Amino acid sequence: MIGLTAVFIGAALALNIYVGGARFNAESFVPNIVVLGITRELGPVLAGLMLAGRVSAGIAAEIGTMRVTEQIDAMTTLSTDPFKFLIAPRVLAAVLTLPVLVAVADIIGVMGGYLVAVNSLDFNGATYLRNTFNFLETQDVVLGLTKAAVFGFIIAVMGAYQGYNSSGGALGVGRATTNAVVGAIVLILAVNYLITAFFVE
Amino acid sequence: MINPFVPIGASTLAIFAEIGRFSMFAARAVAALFRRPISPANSAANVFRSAIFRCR
Repeated sequence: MIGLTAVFIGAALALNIYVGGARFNAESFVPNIVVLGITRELGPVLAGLMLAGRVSAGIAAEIGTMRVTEQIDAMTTLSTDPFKFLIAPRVLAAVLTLPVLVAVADIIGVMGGYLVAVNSLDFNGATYLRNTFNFLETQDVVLGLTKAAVFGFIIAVMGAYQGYNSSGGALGVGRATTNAVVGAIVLILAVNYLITAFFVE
Repeated sequence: MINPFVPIGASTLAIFAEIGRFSMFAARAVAALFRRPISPANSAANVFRSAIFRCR
């Protein structure tokens, strides 16, 4: 799913940058801007948004169901910390796996731009790839993967937060799921700006 | 007529309260990540202690 998103975004980005660059004879910058835009911004944000829709909702529904069926209360009664057994593993998993997914999305996104540039815009394939790799710096990748880890944390914690505090039976679980997705998306976009501003300064 | 700053202020306060609650929850989740794992013996002792406490 993330691969599909990335390939279409990379392709659309390449086309748009070509159109914009052609206005002042800067078409040759297409590979540079595609790789910069995908690794620093679009890869982590789109992967975060896609996972907010799937994972955050899933965690909220799962923990919310456990809450309304009093399974979490039963754990507390047995002196088992629900945070340690229900929430911490999910948070750790999201923080570790989202950077991996984003790395894959970055590669697929750049390849999407490559396909459009070579097949539709008459770029030379070898030159496109050489420009891409020469322009890319380590800090671009580090910024993208740092964002991904933070987004993973936000996705898991927001889902767990909404599920843990849900009440009112099946209706409450549905409401918690919706709130988890909306909250995670808003937080991802806001934190994305803050991290970018921090790294730019 | 209601002063427009009243609903704006109330919404702002509600948003900050929600952010505070979420931050506390996130802090508890992070703290749980670093907490020492409970050994089976320790866990059984906890259950036993909890049961006694509840019976009492």
